[in-house]
Amino acid sequence: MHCDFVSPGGSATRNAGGRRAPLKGEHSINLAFEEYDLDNGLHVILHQDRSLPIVAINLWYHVGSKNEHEGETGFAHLFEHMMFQGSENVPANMHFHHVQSAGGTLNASTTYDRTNYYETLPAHQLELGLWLESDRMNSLAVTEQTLETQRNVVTEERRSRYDNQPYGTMLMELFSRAYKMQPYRWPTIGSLADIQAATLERVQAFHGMYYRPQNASLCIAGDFESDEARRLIEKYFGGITNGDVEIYRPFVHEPPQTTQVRDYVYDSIPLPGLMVGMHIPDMNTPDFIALDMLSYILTSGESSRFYHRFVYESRIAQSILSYAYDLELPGLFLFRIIAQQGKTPEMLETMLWQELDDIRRNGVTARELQKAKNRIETMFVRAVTSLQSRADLLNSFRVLAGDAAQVNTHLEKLQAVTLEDVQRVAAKYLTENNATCLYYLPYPKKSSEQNA
Amino acid sequence: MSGSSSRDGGILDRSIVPAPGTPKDLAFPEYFEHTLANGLKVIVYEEHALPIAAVSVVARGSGADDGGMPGLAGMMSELLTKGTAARSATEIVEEIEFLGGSIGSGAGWDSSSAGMSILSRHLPQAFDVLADVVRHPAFPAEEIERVREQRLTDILQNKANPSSVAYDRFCAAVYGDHPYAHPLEGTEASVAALQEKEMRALHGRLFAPDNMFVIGVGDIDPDAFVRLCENAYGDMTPIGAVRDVVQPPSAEGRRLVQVVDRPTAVQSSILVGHVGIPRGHEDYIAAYLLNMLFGGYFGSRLNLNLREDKGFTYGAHSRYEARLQSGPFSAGAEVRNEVTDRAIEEILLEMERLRTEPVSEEELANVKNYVVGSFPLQIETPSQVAQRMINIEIYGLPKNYYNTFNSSILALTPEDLRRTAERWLHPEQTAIVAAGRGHLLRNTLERFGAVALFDADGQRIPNVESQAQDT
Repeated sequence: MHCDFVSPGGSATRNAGGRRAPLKGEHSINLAFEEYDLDNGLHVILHQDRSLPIVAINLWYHVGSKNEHEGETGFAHLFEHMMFQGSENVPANMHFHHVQSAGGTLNASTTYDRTNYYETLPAHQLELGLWLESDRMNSLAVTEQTLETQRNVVTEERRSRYDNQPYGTMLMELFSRAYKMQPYRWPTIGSLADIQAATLERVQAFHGMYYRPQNASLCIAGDFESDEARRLIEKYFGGITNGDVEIYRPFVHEPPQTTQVRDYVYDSIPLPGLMVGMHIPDMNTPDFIALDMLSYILTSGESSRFYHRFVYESRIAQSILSYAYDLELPGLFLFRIIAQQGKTPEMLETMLWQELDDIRRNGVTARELQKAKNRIETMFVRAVTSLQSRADLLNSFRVLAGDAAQVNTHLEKLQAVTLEDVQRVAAKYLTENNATCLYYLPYPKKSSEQNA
Repeated sequence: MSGSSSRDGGILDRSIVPAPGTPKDLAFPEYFEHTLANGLKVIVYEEHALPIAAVSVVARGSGADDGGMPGLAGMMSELLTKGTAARSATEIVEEIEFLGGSIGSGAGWDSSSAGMSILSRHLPQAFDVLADVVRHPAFPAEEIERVREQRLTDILQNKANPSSVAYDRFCAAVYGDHPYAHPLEGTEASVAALQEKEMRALHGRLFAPDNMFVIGVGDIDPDAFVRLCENAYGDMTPIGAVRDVVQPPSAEGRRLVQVVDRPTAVQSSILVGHVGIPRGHEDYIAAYLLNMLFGGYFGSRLNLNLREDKGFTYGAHSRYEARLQSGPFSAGAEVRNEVTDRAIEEILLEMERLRTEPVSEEELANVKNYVVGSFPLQIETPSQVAQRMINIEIYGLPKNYYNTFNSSILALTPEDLRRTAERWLHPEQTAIVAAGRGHLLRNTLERFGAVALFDADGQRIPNVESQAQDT
């Protein structure tokens, strides 16, 4: 422990170049890693960085809400909660207890396409983390009572994050109208009725189908010794079998949309909003890369084209976001615009189509494209700052793109996007007939309601 | 237990918790400090792992130090990046964003700052832009009106957000006429009234070389950085003024029960608490550990009780907000309407328990292990390290604060925590605030004290009888 290295007013020692190993690669950033499969099919990715005594464990299961069926929406996420409610050797809530008492942090999350579980631990607790994750892959020991509690917790989660949140249901309301066939039409959080109807039998069956080595990818990042990590992973995960249930993987594509879908929703909000979604290809297509780039050009940063036009210059919007939703099945290009006081969703929509028409006809400028590329490069550097985010990124490329090595080539793909690509995808996908438009409106004021 | 069948056929005995390996220490990293002749302090934390650098110019004093104009520091700070003598707002953001970076400014309760983050190969250029906005803001009339409109709209939006309205009401209830009673971003009335001359005056008072410091983290060479600072800020004149000191709030709390009516709410947002502890107080570390155990992490008493045992909520939390003067202590959760009173009762009971029953050695060991063990995770990234260096500066903490943090935590005993609870937790003097369905809450919360009902604008709603007479 040094405390005398700073002396106000005087010169001082330096920390000799920092604590952490450089990640600079030939071009920009390079994440070095090794990967292999256990005999049972569990994929393993090891990214070693011994600069700090920290280890990140990150485990992805290739299951999300799109694997659900109508009538059991929200199940994948509810199941994620149940993974903390007990396995053969780890009683309910002891997972948290073990990790936190070891000085670790942990969480899990569920999306349309995948579920991840992660712990960041002091490096000398690696084995504890592997023991915990393997025990709940190997077995699940949950009760009617813990399920009842988690049904209630998830119900309150839905209310806190969506129903009781201004604009909280915009995304799910849009998805439910934009998709007729694909299993993205229900939200990951699920419906309250379906959450309450979940049974213990389904919990065990879900574990049996999806929570097995073949359907998982384990990434360890940070301070570990490679041979030791391999030995421990084999010890804890090597004996876990797969079972013989066939994994359900929906492969549904929407028929092409030919006419615009329009609707409106009322909510407890002070200002109206506009949400628009256009069908786009899945995240692993070249067109998606160009659409992703277009989204950065339109709304990333205050100098972006649409922020400047909608929020700064015309002042018709309080905020504007766009997002090329990166999904395994075809996704949506989204706009979410909240009106400034005294402005209407009609005004927002009119301006949106004018601006998109301009891009379809004239494209964007070379400077705008270069700026977006520069911003993406910086954001990528920020995204690999912590060990846990590196581990999650590696698993993301492995599970959703099929190859972890893309983590080191993805930037090049983005850098290769041309002005012609951007204009072409704008013209092809960001069209009025391909759009679902949702007006989000404040409840009409009733004078009798004021003090009710 | 239901159908727990293990897949590995029991070939591995998994019943034993693996023993930890040998722990490795991670000390708070060394950093570089240098003070220019005019009093400006330059701080550098070098880390060359990634080709990125972040620079902040931080001025002491801010939100609480507003001369009776809530929101002034926030609006002044935001306007720094909205135009200088040499650059328009659009030019500033375009220049930085074209380089791939970001720039922004704002104010907290105890400091105002402008900062940017950039790939290190562009550092000198971005550094110049940052120095320009710090030293020569123009406060253009058009930009003031634009920022004012955005801020008024944000305030309007906050009124629809249940946790915001609960928090604003809670602060008003706890702090009375102290500056902490107002939202940091100001009120509709105060924001509507703020003038350019007040912003210029506050800027001159805060962004003086002897009241601010420059902190650079990441892929930065300290010597070169000091030269950049010398060139950009070396000619500034110290003002030598002692800035106004915010008076400490009165810690004499009393039980208040207040409800913000949200007729369509599907949950209640509740906050229970009182005036807390100053960041620089000698008891702060004990209060920090006490709060961690109470409601500071997933394994805390509050969360295990309200979430994992009762299923009332997605999460329950508590915190002592760290400020120069005593910031609020609050415990809260978003719970389903019908259990609002029971959740409040549990919070008060848990507070009382900490005052009367010493925590067990085992529970204390668990929370210490969490706090001490996770310390390396709290200083993993350069920005995490930088935030702690800023804390040392702003709150006047000893330079070795984070080097001795773990040993201070480990020294605390069950009796220390009980004494800390006795001194810094006051269940009888709490303000109890809930944002939710007024007619339901008015009845169920009556048992904690007389209920006052408010609307989202902060206006008192008369009780039903007198309302009937009024209309």
